[in-house]
Amino acid sequence: MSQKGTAHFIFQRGTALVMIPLVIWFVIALISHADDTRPELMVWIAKPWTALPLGLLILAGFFHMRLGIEILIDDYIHKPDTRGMLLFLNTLFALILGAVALWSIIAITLIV
Amino acid sequence: MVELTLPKNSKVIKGKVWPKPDGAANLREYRIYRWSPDDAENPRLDTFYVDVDDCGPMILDGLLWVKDNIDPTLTLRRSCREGICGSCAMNINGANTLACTKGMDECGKGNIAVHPLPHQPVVKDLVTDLSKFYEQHAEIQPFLQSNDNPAAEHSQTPGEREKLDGLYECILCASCSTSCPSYWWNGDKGDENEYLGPAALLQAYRWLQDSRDDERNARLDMLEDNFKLYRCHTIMNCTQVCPKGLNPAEAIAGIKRMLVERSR
Repeated sequence: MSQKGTAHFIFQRGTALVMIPLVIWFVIALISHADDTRPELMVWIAKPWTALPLGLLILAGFFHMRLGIEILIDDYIHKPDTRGMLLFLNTLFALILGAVALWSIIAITLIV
Repeated sequence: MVELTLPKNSKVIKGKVWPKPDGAANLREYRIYRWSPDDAENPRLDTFYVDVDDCGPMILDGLLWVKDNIDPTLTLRRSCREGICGSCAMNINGANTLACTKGMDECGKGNIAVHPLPHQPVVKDLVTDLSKFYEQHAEIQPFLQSNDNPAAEHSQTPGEREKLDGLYECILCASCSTSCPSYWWNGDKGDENEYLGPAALLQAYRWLQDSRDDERNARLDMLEDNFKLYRCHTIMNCTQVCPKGLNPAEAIAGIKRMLVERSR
């Protein structure tokens, strides 16, 4: 079945652009908190100015991952049934991982 | 899955080493892919020694010298011998190009490996079956579709005409498409989920850019597809090898840009 690809193309580039500043921030933050204890790290994550960009990074990252792996599946898996199944599993995988990661941040903000 | 290894009967084996021509002072070693549908043999690489003092300077000259002086069964396509017809496109020292415009002196000092265009069915030796490639070209409807019916010609401003430069010069040699890994994986699957390849997409963009054409939306509708267009991952082999110096990758990016702008 013919599938449109422009939305995929836009979202892939959009999420990539969103992630550029977020990944830079995340790496710098990780380095600066490298010596933190677990409770200190949880306090830091629970701050709104940490939780918010971290949540955004998780959303953009897992969405971007799903889009990227979809391209690999479309490129290399030729049997339509297998491809359909793998595309479904890919979406499911990204949704579950993304949900767990997001819930982790919410849980930390609730605990701290 | 895509096939990552060659089937047993496609593995290239060592071929015959033909004797050096008598009395030749300057020799160039050609290793040429040979395969015939008339026997059950695997493809092989035959070694020929070309007397460069007795033939022209281009790769095609050497191939024709082999055909004329050593082995008349060597099969290849050629016609114009000046880079216009696109017939003699083949893989020379690992890159697709035209044998008629590639000089032997551009191939370094070592031997010259000559193979047919990659990932196409081989008819014989260096001749490949390009039927699929031509079907894909036909699919993009490479002709003017205008609602106007002018008394004379369809007019264009010089600016509008300039937009076609770098697009209309394609000679359909298939060097670009057959150098593209995405085209290898998804160009000939036999279903509707096929990548059109850089050559067809370059021509699609040529007609999208034509100010006289009235079917821009229909053309974009046809191209807006995960497989037909979006299998291009900007690998750029197409642009790297185009013997006419064209830039199919940029044309494909242009189509994507038009689709993004249209979706706003």
